[in-house]
Amino acid sequence: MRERWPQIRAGLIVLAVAVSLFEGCPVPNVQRRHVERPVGQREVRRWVGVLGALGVETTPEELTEDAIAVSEAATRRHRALLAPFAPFFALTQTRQRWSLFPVADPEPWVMHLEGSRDGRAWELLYRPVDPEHVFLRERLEYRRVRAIWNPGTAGPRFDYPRFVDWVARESFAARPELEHVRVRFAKVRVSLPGEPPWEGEPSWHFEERRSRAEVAP
Amino acid sequence: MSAGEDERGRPAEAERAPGAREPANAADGSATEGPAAEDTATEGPAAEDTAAVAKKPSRWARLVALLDEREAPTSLALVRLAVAAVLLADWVAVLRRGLVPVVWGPSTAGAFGIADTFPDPPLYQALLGASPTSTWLVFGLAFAATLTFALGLFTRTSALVLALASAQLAQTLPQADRGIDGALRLVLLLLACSGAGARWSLDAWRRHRTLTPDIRVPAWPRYLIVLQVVWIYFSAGMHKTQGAWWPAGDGAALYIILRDPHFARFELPWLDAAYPLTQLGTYLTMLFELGAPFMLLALWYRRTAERPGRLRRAFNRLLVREVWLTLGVGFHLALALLVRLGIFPWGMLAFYPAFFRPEAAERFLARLRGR
Repeated sequence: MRERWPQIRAGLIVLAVAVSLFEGCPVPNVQRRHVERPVGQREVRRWVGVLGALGVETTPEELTEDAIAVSEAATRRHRALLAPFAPFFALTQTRQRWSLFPVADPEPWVMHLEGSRDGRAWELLYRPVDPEHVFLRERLEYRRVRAIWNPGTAGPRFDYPRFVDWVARESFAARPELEHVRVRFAKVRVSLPGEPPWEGEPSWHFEERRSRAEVAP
Repeated sequence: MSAGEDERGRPAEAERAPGAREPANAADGSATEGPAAEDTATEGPAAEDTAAVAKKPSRWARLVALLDEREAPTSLALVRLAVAAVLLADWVAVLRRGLVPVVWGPSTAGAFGIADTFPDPPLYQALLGASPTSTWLVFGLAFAATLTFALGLFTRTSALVLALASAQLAQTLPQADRGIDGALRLVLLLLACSGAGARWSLDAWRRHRTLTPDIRVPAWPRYLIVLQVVWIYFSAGMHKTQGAWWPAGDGAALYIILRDPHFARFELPWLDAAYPLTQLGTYLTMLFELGAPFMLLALWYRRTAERPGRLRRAFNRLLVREVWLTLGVGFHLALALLVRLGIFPWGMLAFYPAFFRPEAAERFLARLRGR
């Protein structure tokens, strides 16, 4: 056994690398909610153009349906083949698919945290990259907390309402005069240099309000 | 002494690949011919030449020999110290903000840790129940393991405990566990199999009464860390299919990210004037990420510099390894300066010592010390 150990170890390493690379295959994860967003629709139109240039005629609707179908089938197959190794990935909470800003969204969100005494006149407490409104900034901008409130490409995270509960409790504790807190997201547009500057009004999304009584311990 | 090491820093005979003559990383740091040249040596001097010509070692034998190599623990120890520093900084950041019970506490206690509502909760919650106390216990375990890992005390066990405790926290609130946390866990698992605690550690002191014993440890964990880092970049590049990362989308991705208020560290009033620079940054990022596999080739060519080949000579002359690593360091420092990505840039940079063979790392450290 001891003489065979280098061989066995090499075999185990090759197996680990092969499984990891397979796990890391860029299996497309196309969901309808991704495609429905403006940035998703722009991508679909771009791909229709790319495919058209390659002689593959399709429409945005057809491409969307095909992409979702292929994505679902590939994901099912991928998951099934990895099933024997799933316990390892679950125990270590690791994966081999890495992405950093796969989508640079030209219509980003801007989170607004506001407080009010009467529920009518609102005071801005926190807004990212706004040195005038930095209430709770250290905690809100800590990466693991931002991961909870920062909407993904498909909208707010599922525990966003609990985030609002928490931030409301924190706000009420720090600012006894406040009776209401609301969190909402402005959708803005980044204009590229050379494009006409975006001067539209932001649209507001995912508004959640809490009163002091609602979140009292 | 760690398993698999001997006092002279050479592998015990029985631990070498069958037929392997000597680890390829020679103690003097010179480039060697690599595993391809190793397998015939035990046939004896008389038979050596004939055997070498008649029977070239198989690819498998060469791979076995490569993975059986040993080296000084310097590079792995540097990775250990850097990873520990990054993790400690992150734990301290979350402690200082009073966020431990908020982020990982159970949702029933008003915190974000959603796992207590899952049918299959994390192991610690199954055993101890979901409560602020059990949260603190797991966090405390992770923190203590980070400290012992940094000090190199029971290094392998510390690395394993730290990886598993971090995984339990990840399971408690999956969406707060970022890619870099997973990358750090993977590297911790590799370090748990390595001799990263054989230098600048209490383990080294306990065993050898010196912090820098002259021993050699398996090199394969370092090779796998390199492979992991290269894969992270390449995978990230493959996922960037959006037009903004490509010339068709005007290479606008970096500009857009720097304008995203949730990620930008500052308002940058000069950014419009620097648009061409951001485009260049976008393309360099893609080149860096999609070109990552060439780094493996560059490392191999550097290691086998004495062999012939025009491509090898070109890679070595153009300093591909150095250029790629410089680009990587610049990329991460720029991210750290301009974009709020938490520990991501520092975590990735913590893996970089793995790209250097121990001799090169030692030369670099000696230069830093002015010797």
